[in-house]
Amino acid sequence: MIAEFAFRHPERIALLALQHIALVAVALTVACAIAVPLGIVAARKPRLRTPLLGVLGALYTVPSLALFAILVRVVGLGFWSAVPVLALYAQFILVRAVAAGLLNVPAELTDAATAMGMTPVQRLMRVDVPLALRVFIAGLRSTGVASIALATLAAYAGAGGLGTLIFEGLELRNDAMLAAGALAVAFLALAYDAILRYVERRLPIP
Amino acid sequence: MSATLRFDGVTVRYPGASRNALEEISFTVPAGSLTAVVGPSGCGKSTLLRTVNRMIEVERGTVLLDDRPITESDPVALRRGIGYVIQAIGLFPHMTVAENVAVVPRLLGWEHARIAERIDEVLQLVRLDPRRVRDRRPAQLSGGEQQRVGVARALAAYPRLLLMDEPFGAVDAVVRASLQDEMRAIVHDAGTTTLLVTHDVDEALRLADRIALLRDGRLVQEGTPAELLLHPADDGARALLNADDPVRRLQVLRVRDAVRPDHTTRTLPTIAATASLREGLVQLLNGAPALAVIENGTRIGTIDFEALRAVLVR
Repeated sequence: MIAEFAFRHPERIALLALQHIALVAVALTVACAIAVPLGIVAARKPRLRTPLLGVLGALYTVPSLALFAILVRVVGLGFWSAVPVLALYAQFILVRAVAAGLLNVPAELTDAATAMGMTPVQRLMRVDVPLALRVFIAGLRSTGVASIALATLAAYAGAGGLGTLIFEGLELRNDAMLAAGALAVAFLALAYDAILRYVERRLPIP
Repeated sequence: MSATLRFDGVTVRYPGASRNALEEISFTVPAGSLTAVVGPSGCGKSTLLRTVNRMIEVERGTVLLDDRPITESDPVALRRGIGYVIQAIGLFPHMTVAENVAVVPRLLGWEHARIAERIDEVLQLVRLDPRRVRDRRPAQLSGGEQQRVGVARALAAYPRLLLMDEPFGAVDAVVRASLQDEMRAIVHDAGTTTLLVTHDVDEALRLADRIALLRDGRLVQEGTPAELLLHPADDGARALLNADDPVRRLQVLRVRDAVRPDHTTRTLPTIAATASLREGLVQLLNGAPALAVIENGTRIGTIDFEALRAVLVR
């Protein structure tokens, strides 16, 4: 039944999947652009760490559907009302991952880097970032999987994606459509997870 | 090329500490020498080392490199001219051996070809086969090999000064002694002034040309190993150095330290003044009645069992 639906509408599923991927990709890019500096601050300034992670934790507990509803009021229906929600939800895990990765770098290595004459920026780029990468990628993996799942709700905000099949399937009582959407989302999440696992394994850090 | 390092009234205080971590430390590390800073943990020896590359700033006093206060140069530039070897070796695990060795040359903007050449050269200097280790990661090497890479990395950019903080702390006891002897030879070959921090008195006596003894942030005594063993500044120094142990004296003292004037011209087997007393003892045990001591081609006196006993037993 599901297969029948998929065979009858392959181009529709493909289009919605591409929309879904684009939405998550843009949201994660925006999320990283915000989370990396925040994570560096959280790692370097112990006094800011707890309040920062506390605020992000609190935001994480806001129901996502409510957040979508608020953004639709503010931005209107569409792609750009979904991106901020996804980017915001990703912050909690990503900022933690960046901070934990940096704090995990052994003190004697950062000490050696400084004593060898690296400037703070050189140290960050040549020692801290490469050594924090594994923890960061692990955070990107879990937050990406969560974003792929969360992006189904973007259909509610008019941003398209595979959630469209689920919402429509619910409305039309078309179980095949609903299941096809859900399975496609699950497949995307598993594929993303597998790719990032592969990247993690290829990192040159012990 | 090697610098003279001088501490002049160096005083360091950590914020919130009840006493100074270092109090009025003054002594000189001669160019090309290996000086060991020794003392119990918490005596301030690592702090002293870290004032030299400005990882710690002094409160009062001056650290001078070739008579120039180090505060006159930018810390980053200063550090690139000073080799640094730390306890945990501190090799970067995400870089290959070659990349680790190339860190400071790259920071200094050397040309690619010159860096590649220097990597092989300096790996050979620490007795590693460049073809074998160059492209490996530190984790693929043994502890002793990692230690050598650490020294190679510190020497790569021809530093004026080498700082070593407990460099053999991470090496197991079996290879430590031979590695120490080799490192002494390597550092001497390179001719780089070296300041080495250790809590291990044996290590200091074995490696160093001069020893600075620290306790509670104060300099107790500074001198050659023989000077410290023969004339410890106080009972604390005597106990820490185990200065009265005849076997220790036998290992550390030189024939020169036991020589007695001899006005006769009798024919005797000879021994160099720089030879260890141990070698002298072996020759005497092999049946020589006395040995003629030769320094710079001239006979400066003799040693016999009685002369040995006089310096070995207090």
